Amino acid sequence: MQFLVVKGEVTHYPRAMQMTPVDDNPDTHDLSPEDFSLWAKKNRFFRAMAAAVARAGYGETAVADILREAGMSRRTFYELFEDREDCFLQAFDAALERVRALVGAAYHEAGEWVDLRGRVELGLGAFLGCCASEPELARMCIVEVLAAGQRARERRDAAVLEFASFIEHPRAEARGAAAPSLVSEAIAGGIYGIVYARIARGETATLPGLLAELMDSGLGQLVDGGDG
Amino acid sequence: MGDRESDTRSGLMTPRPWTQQHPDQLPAGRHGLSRDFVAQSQRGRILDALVASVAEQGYPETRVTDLIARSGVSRKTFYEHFADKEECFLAAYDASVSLLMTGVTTAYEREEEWVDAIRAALAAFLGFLAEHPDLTRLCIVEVHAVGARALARRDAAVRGFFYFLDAGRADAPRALPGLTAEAVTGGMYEIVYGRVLRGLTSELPRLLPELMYWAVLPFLGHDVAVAELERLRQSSDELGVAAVGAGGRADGRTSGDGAQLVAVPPRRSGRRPGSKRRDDPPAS
Repeated sequence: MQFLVVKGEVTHYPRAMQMTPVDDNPDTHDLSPEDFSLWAKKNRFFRAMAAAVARAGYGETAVADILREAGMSRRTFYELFEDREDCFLQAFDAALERVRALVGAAYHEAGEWVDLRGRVELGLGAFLGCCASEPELARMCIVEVLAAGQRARERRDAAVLEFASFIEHPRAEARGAAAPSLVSEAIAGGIYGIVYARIARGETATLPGLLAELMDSGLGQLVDGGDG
Repeated sequence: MGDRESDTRSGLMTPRPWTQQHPDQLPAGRHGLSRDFVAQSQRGRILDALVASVAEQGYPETRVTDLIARSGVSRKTFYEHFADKEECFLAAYDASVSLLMTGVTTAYEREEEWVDAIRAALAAFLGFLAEHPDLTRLCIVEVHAVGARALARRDAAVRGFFYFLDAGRADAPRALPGLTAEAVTGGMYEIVYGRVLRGLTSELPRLLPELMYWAVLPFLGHDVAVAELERLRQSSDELGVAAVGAGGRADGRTSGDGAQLVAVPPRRSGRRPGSKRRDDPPAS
C-alpha cells in the first residue's frame, strides 16, 4: 500500500482513474466480506442516484427513482440511508474522497521528475479526467449540489475551500508570501465556475481539453518560475 | 447572520418622492399624482419589500403575502405588477444588477489605462456590495434558490464583467486563452459569495489589493500583479482601513442614485504623469 500526505493526513489511495469504484478497487482490499458487501451496496445506490439525478435533477428525483435505477429494495435503502438527502450527501462525500486521492496522487507521484507547473497540471488534469470519466457523478457533485439543500451547499462550499487549500501548496512553493492566499481561493472558484458551466451545458466531455487554457488563465502565471 | 444593515430603508427601488420625507407610502386620498408615478411607486415598494424579505428569510420562505404586508399594496395591485413571486424576484434582480453595472461602468470608463480602469471598476464593485448588503445577498446568494430563469440571468450578469477584463488582452505579453476572463470573474464571484454567506459583506472593500492581484495576474503576470498589490496595500494603510471599509456610508448620504454608489475612490499612486484626474481628497 502506498501513502500520500494531503493536508497532514496520511491517506492510502487507489490507482483506478475513476470516481466510482470498480470491483478490483484497492480501496476495498482491506475490507471484511461484510464491509465489502455494505460498501458495494452503497456504491450501487450512489451510482443509481447520480443517474437518476442526471436525468431529472435533484428536485425531481424521488427515492423510488433511485430504487428503480439501482434494482434494490426500499428496505435496503433505508438500512443504509436516513433519506434521500443522506444518500446524496454520502455519495458526494465518497466521490470527493476519491477525487481528493486521485488528484493528490497525480500531483505528488511525479515527485522531482516534473517541475512545479507540470505537477500542478497533472493534478488539475486528474480532476478534469475524473469529471469526464464519470459525467453523471460530476453533474451531481458540481451542478446539482447547489439544488440539494443547505447541507449539500455547505459540502460544496467546503470542497471549493479544500481545493483552494490544495492550491496553497504550489502557491507557497512558487511565490511564498509574495502572492496572497486569497488567490488560491480565486483560482479554485474560477475553475469551479468554468467546470460548472460546461457540465450544466452538457459539455462534460470537453473538460480534459480545457487543461491548457485553465493553466494559462491564472494558475500557470502563479506557479511559473517557482522551481527555485 | 448577526447584525445586518438594511439598505431598503432608503427605498432603493422606489423612485424619489417629491420631498425628502420617508418615501414609503403615498398619501391616501386625492393627491394629484400622476397614474404613472403611483404605479412606479407601488412597483418600487413591492421590489423593496421583496429585497428586504428575501434578505431576512431567504427566497423560498418569502410569500407573496409577506410582500403585500410589507409594501402596503393590495393583493390585486401586486398581481397587476407581477405574475408571481419569481417575476418579482427577477425584476428586483435586474434592477440591482443594472444599478451595480452603472456604477462599475462609470468608474471603469473614467480611466484610460486598463489597470487603472480595472482598479476603479473593482473598487466600485466592492463598494456597491458593501453599501447594499441586502441587494448583494439577493444577487449573489439567493439567486441560486429561484430556478432556471434566475440562473440564466445570473450567468448573463456574470458575463457582463468579461468585457472589462478582456480589454486587458491588449496589454498582455502573450495571447491568452478565451476563458481567462471567465476564470477571473468566477474566482471573484466565489470569494464574494463566501464572504456574503459569512456575513462579511461590509468587509469586501478591504479585499481590493488581493483581488487586484488576481485580476492582473493572468494578463500581466506575477511581477506586475505584486507591484499593484503592494501599492494598494500601502495606500490603504495610509488611508486607514476603517475608512475604506466604511465606504461612503459614513456621511449618511442616501443611496438612490447608481452613480453615487462608487463608495471607494480608486487610490492612485500618482506615478503616471499622463493620467487625467487628480486630487482624490483622501490622498492629498
